[in-house]
Order: sequence, then C-alpha cells, then structure tokens
Amino acid sequence: MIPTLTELKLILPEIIILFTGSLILINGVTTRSYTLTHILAITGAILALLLKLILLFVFSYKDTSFPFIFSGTLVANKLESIFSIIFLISLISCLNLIKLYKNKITDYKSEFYGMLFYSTAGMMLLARSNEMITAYVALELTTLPLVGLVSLGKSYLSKESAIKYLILSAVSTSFFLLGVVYIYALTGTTFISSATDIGINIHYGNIFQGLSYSQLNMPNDIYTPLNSLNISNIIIIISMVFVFIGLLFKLGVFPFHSWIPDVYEGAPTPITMFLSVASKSAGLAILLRILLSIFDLNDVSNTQWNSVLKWPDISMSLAIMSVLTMFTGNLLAIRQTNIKRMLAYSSIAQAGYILIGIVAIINSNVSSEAIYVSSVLLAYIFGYMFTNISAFYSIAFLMKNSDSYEFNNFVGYGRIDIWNSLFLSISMLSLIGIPPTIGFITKLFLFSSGVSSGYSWLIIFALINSVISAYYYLKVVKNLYFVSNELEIEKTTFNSKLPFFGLFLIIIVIVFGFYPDPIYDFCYDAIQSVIN
Amino acid sequence: MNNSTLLLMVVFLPGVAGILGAVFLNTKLLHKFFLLLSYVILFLCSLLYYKFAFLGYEPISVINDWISIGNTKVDFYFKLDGLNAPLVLLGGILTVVAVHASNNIKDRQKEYYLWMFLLITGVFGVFLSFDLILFFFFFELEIIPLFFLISIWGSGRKEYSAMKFLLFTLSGSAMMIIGFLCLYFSSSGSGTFNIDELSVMEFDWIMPSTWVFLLIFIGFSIKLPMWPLHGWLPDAHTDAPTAASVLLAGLLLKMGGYGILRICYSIMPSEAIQLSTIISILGAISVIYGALLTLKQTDLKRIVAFSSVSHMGYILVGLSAFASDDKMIQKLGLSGASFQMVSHGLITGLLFYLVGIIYEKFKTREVENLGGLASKFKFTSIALAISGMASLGLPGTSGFVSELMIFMGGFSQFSITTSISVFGVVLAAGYILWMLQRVIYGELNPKFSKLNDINLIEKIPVFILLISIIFLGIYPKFVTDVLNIGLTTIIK
Repeated sequence: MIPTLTELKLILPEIIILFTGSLILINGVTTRSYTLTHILAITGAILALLLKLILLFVFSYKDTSFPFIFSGTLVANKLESIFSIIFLISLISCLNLIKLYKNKITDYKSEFYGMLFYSTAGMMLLARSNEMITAYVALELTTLPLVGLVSLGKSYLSKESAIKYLILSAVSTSFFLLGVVYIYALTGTTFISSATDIGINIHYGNIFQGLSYSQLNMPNDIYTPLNSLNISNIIIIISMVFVFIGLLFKLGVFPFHSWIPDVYEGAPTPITMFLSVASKSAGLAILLRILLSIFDLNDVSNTQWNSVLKWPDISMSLAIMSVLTMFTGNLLAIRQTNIKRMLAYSSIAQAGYILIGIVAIINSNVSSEAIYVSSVLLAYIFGYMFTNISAFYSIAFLMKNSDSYEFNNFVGYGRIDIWNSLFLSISMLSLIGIPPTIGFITKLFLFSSGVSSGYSWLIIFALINSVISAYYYLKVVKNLYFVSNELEIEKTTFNSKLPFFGLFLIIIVIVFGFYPDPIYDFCYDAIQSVIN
Repeated sequence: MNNSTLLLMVVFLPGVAGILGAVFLNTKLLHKFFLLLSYVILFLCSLLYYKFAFLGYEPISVINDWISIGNTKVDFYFKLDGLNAPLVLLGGILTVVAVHASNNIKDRQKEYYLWMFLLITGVFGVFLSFDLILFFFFFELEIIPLFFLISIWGSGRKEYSAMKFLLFTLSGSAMMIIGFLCLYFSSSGSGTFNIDELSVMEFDWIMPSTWVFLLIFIGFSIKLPMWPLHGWLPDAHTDAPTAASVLLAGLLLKMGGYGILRICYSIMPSEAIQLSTIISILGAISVIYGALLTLKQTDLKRIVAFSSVSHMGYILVGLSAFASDDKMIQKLGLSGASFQMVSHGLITGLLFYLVGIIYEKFKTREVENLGGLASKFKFTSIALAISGMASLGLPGTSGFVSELMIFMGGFSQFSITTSISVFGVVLAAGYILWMLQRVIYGELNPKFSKLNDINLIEKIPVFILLISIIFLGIYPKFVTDVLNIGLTTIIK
C-alpha cells in the first residue's frame, strides 16, 4: 500500500531522525570530521523537535481525523507526541553532553552519533506503534544501538555492562515476543487498537476485544480451583504476563531491576542519561498504549473484557511489585557512595512510584476515571523525566574533569561551580517532591490516584519511601554546600558560566511546579484523544 | 468578596523580595535592605490586623483553577479570618526580630537571607491558605529553608539536627497528605479541597473517620511538638542560629497548633470531641514531661527549647475543652489555646533572642559559666527576668492570660488531666527561677567584665516584644475578640 502524503507528513520527524543518522554514518566513512558530525546531529535533532511541535500545535492533531496511519500500524496523536518530545529533548541534551565527554568515548564518533539517532527513531516509532510486531521491531531498533552505545565508553566497566545489558534485554524482549505470539494465537490479531473510524476496508481486530471473545468465563476469585480455569484463560494470563515482563524490564521494576545499577555506572554519562530517560519512557509509552486500549472498547462495563486485566492477581501483583521496587531502590540507594549508582537505584524507586499509576489505571472502572488517573500518571512521567534529564545534565557538567563519580569528589562544589550545583540541588529537591518544583505536585496527584483506586495501603508505603528517599537525595545537596573544601577551591578554576540548556530544563521544573495547570490540561487532552 | 492584593503581598513579598535582594544586592547593603523589608512586612501585617479587627475588613484572594484535571480542581485561595489574623501579626513582629538577630551573620549572607525570607513566605502561606493542597504546598515549602539555615549557619551537631528535623517533618507531612487525600475522596459530590466547603460538608468516609483525624492530627503534632513526637525539637533549636530559633519557636510550631484547629477541628468536629480525652491526656503528659526534662538542662538554649514542649502541651489541654456541651467553655478553651500560640510566640521569641545575644557576647550558653549579669548588663538582665516571668505565667503578662483561659476551659471537662497540667506552672517556676538566679545574680566572671551591654539597635526588638507581652497581659481583648470571630466557624 502506498502511503499518502498526509501520512508521510505525520511521520516526518522520524524520517528526519533516521535520515540524519544515516547522513552521519556516511560522513563517518567519508570526511570523518567530528565538527561536521556534531553540527549535522544538532541540526537534525532540533529540526525534528521543531517539526514535532509544529505538527502538534499547528497542524493535524487538533482534529482526530488521522489517528491511524500506515494501515493502522502507527498512530498519530497527542499521547505519542508527548513521549516523542521527551525523547527528542533527551537526545538534544545527550548531544550537548557528548561534546563535553568526547575524550571519554570511543574514537568512532560518527558511529556513536549514528547509533544514538537510530535508537531515538526506534523509540519514537515504539511510542506510536499500534501493532505488536511493529512494536517489537521498534523495541529492537531501540535496544540494539543502545547496547553499542553503552559499550563505546573507554573504560573496562563499559564493556562489561554492555554485555550484561545485551543479554538481559535480549531475554526480556523475547518474553515480549512470546507474549505477542500467544496473543496472536488466541485472537488472530496483533493490532493493539482497532481502526474503526477511518475508511479502511479491513476491520482490524483489537487485542482486548479479541481476548474477550476468545475466552468464556474468567474466574473473579483468586482462590478458584485450577480445574475451573480453562486452557485459553491460562494462556491469556500467560500472554499478558509475558508482555508485561518484557516491558517492566525496561522500567526496571523489582525482579527485573538488577541490570540497572551496573549498566548505569558503566555507560558513559551522556548515555546513562539517555538510558534513564528515553529508554525508560519508551517502555512506558508502549505499556500505557496497551493498557489504555482497554478503554477503547465501547462497553467498558462488560465483564467479558473486564476479566482479562481485572483478574485480581494482576493488579495485586503489580501493587506488590511496586512496594518491593520502591523499597529495593530506596534502601539500596542509601548505601551508595557513587552518584551514578545512587541515581540508578533512585530510578528503580521511581519505577515503583510509576507502577502506582499503572495499578490505578488497571483498577479504574469507568473511562472518566481512567482518563483522570492516566493523565495524572502521564504528568508524573513528564515531570520525572525532565527532572532526571536536568539532574544528569548538571552532574555531567560538574564531573566533566573527573573520572570518578564518588560523592567525596564534589564536596564543596557549591562554591566552585555555582550554577550547576544549584541546578543539581533543585533537581534533587524535585525528585524528593518538595515544592515549588514539578516533582511535588505531580507526585501528590499520583498518590491521589492511588488513593482513589482503593489502594491506600500502597500509598502509605509510597510515602514511607518518599521520606526515606529524602535522606539520600539530600546527601548530594549536603556534599555540594555544607562542607567547605578550601583545597579544592584553590586547585580548581572557579566556574560561573551559566549552562543555558540546563537553565531551560530547570525553568521547566520550577515554572510548572508553581503553575502545573498547562501540563495537566495537555495530558488530559492527550489521554482523552486516545480513549475518547 | 473583593480580591485583596494586600493579602497576596503579605504572602509573596517576603519570598520575592528575598530572592531579588539576594540576587541583585551588594553584600554590604544586604542587612539594611532586609531590615527595611522586615519593617515593611510588619507594617503590612499590622495594617491587615487593624483593618480586620476594627474596620470589619475580610480580605479574600482567589485564583480559580490553579490546577484542574477533569473534575478535580484546586484553587489558589487565601483568606484572612479571626484565627489566622493574630498569627499573621505575630509573624510580622517575629520577622523584624529575626532580621535584627541576624546582624552578626557574616558568612554567606545572600543565601542566608534568601532562605530566611523563603521560610517566612512559607509560614504566611500556611496561615492564610484555605485550600488543602495550597496549604500543603506551603507547609512543605518551609522545610528546606529551615534545613539549610540549621545545617549551614548552625552550631554543634548541626547537620545531624537538620536531618533529624527534616525526616521528622517529612514523616509528619506524609501522614498529613494521606489524611488530606482521604478527606478529598470522602467528600460528597465531585470532591473538593476547599477548607470552607469541607467544613460544612457531609462525608462518605472511605476510611474510618477517626483514622483520618488521627493521621492529620499526628502530622500536626509532630510540628507542635507533642510528646512522644518531640524528639527533633530540642536538637533543632539548640543547633539553629538565633534567627532560625526565633522563627522556629515563634512561628513554625504554631503551624502545628493552627493546623489542628483549622483542619482537624473545623472539618471533623465530631471526631475531635470523640478523641478529646486522648488529646487532653497527651497534652498533660507533654506539659509535665517537657517541664521535667527542662529541669535537667544546663544549657540556656536547651532550657528554652524544652520549655517549649511543655508550653505547647497547654495548647492541647486547651483544645480538649472542645468536648464540652457549653459553648462558653468551648470558646474559652479554644481561644485560650490560640492565645497561648500568640503569647508563646512572643515570649519564646524574646527568650531566644536574649539567649542569642548572651551567647554572642559570652561565647557560652552553659548556666554555670554565666552569672552576675545584673551588675553590668542591666538591660539584658531586666529583659531576661521579665520574659522569664512571662514564661512561667506571672499575672500582667500574656502568659498568665493564656494559661488561665486554658485551665478554666479544660477543668470543666477533664479535671484530672487539667489539674495535673497546672503543676507544669510550678515546675516552670522551678526551672525559670533557677535559671534567672544563676544567670543574673551572683558574681560576674571577671573575664566578662570588659564587655558592654547591648546597644540601641539591638534593643529595638526587645522593646517591641516586651511591650507586646505586657500589653497583651493587660488588655487581652485586643486578640481574644478577633479570635472569637474566627472561632464562630468551629463552634457552631
């Protein structure tokens, strides 16, 4: 089928990113000029971001007449745009950082840049894919270049962590694929959501619709004896569990978290940032997409489909995983002395908070409630990702002259590198959830969604963890400001240069902390456009 | 229902001017600028109080839909009423005192003033906001500035104390926010965070209502602080710089008492009545336990800090009078408790200020190293004596009025616990008189004989506070009238 011009227009940002990546690779075998590579990369990324914004605010997304493109395999809506914007902004900050770190990564600079772009394109496609096989291909396109990127640091650790990442992500992706295969076997479709409104003749199936037709009666009680579960029910559960495992691995949820600290520590710092922000939100994007497709069905109260995900085991086990994830992340983070490892554990803990939102989505009974809880979750993800970019960005600037990321290394930096220390401290406060930062208000509403879905005990655990996390986040601030380090001040040059991109990120964190309404409005619209 | 810019100015002027001043001003001008700013704030607060008390001006500022997600709406809603007006005036007075007390800060001045004025914005925000989320926003906003003030400019085990304060307070606010969310999801209709609307609402509880009450109550009692949750207070006080101690004792502790009245009592009155026996018992224990611990202290600052635990216990004893059927008794107890907040803010503010001056001059706070202050430091000694007397409740000072009201209110309902807590006054006489005797009388240590008494500028806050303490002791109606207006929303 030949794509129409409109469809091409909607996918233009991805095309630009892929094209820039290829151009950089060609440059790598012809001129090998680093400057040219960097200029190409920055231009391509900014162009793609601008196009995405123009598409979002000026053109087509106002009316939802083109929600499905390319025969329904991809979607074009506000939800995927939010994620694409996060990917592109983290790509741009990653490019800024690579320039600082160019001595610490491989000499094959063009290949490094090219893989970064391919991975970004994979994420953008993953966020907007509406079909499981497309999603799988996009997931691989995301992961494989990332393995390369992790391994291209100059240190020995970087090779080791690349192997770890490769093996574990291959296993998890195969879980995902296996789940997709089971779903296909049951339903005969791989489309996540159906394209009913547009004039395409084929009626694409819908996984949840398909699942609810394919099975007859799901037990509502966990304690139902095994023989009353018929075989297709078991397979439905297995398939959903496999898909979840594949995606929760990306998030770093408790039993699948062990790769995160090693890989984060081993990867070059720009790539650590990229992994923690972009890769994580890519997993979230497709997870959210699958979950929200439940609410596409006309009759939401239908017990047939309800039983697929509402089988109490799934949401309860997600809730338990959330508690375990939070405790694992926070308790282990306390003991860390290396800031990259600490942030790795903190990102595990944050995955636990994100699971609260996912539990709340699964538990919502009417679509208005689902819209509320998922827009709250989306706003939390948005806030968290910006805070995280900002934190890594300032760490990278602070530590650009040093090889070690131990806490002792930046004792007293608050007086040496004023702006970056300030930005790092503000990001830490936002990660704890202290006003007036975006972390405060988004976390508050995320917890409110947990209470509204009837999981008050989960929120109590989350709040306990919030308090625990204050201890280690503030340890960073303490090291920056409280201990004066006269020796260091003499030795190191005083740096009062304002990093403009860092300032931009911090302004987002603070302004939306004071006035978060635009974020919530946008997220609400985005979710509504998906669920309608 | 006119929007009041005055109200918004009181809340935001300290923070905004603090940031601007710290960013743009020269270090030499800094202290003078913030001194001027503090007097402006005092003027604004007095103006608000005057207009409210005598001209019947009830300012409100609302910005609708600060945050709106579907049906969930949070308003930006400030209001001045009888309960918070005296506290706002107290805030203005203590701001002046705190800036005067910061004269000797020479290290990292810009950051110091920035944090201090952010703290003051947080305090005013808590007192004036009438929306649970907004309230919580300001309640959390004040934590980090105090954390920095203690851990950078403090003394002793400052980092330990700051972290302890932070973890205690964050745990308190964690419990509080669960309570707030439960209130939101229990309120009938589409749910609201507005305190005015919540206080006239029928609830459909998603959790047992006493649990919700207790969650919020415990959150505030950590701030108050109530026995057995007072562990952070002595350390934080002892290691904080003088100005931070003044603000902490004078204003931040009052946020706890004010919050209990404003949120627990006005939204959940029946639960408050149900649990008032426990509140009364805990109050009596705080009074006696705090006083007994104070008797053991030898450090001047620790004496004042531990006596705060005891004096804040009186607030709980006063609040328990709410269980009475008689409206007069209820009013007596609750306005006594609110009056105690104002009175304790003034007295403890003065005591901390004086202790700060003594420490600055003599470089010691141990009672045994001091002595004979009366021979050379007449002004300081007189001020210390008067504030000590006010602290133990001598008639003619504001301390007497508040304790009298509290005991009268509490006795009719819980005679045993109130009688026990009356002994707190006796114990207070013990530690205050012991302290005064050792510090003021006796022989002056010869190595201090070259020092001079405080100068005129340093005397200004002492005058302000002494006058307020004695004025309120003689003419308490100035505050109680206003408090009674505010209590009409609670006592229906």
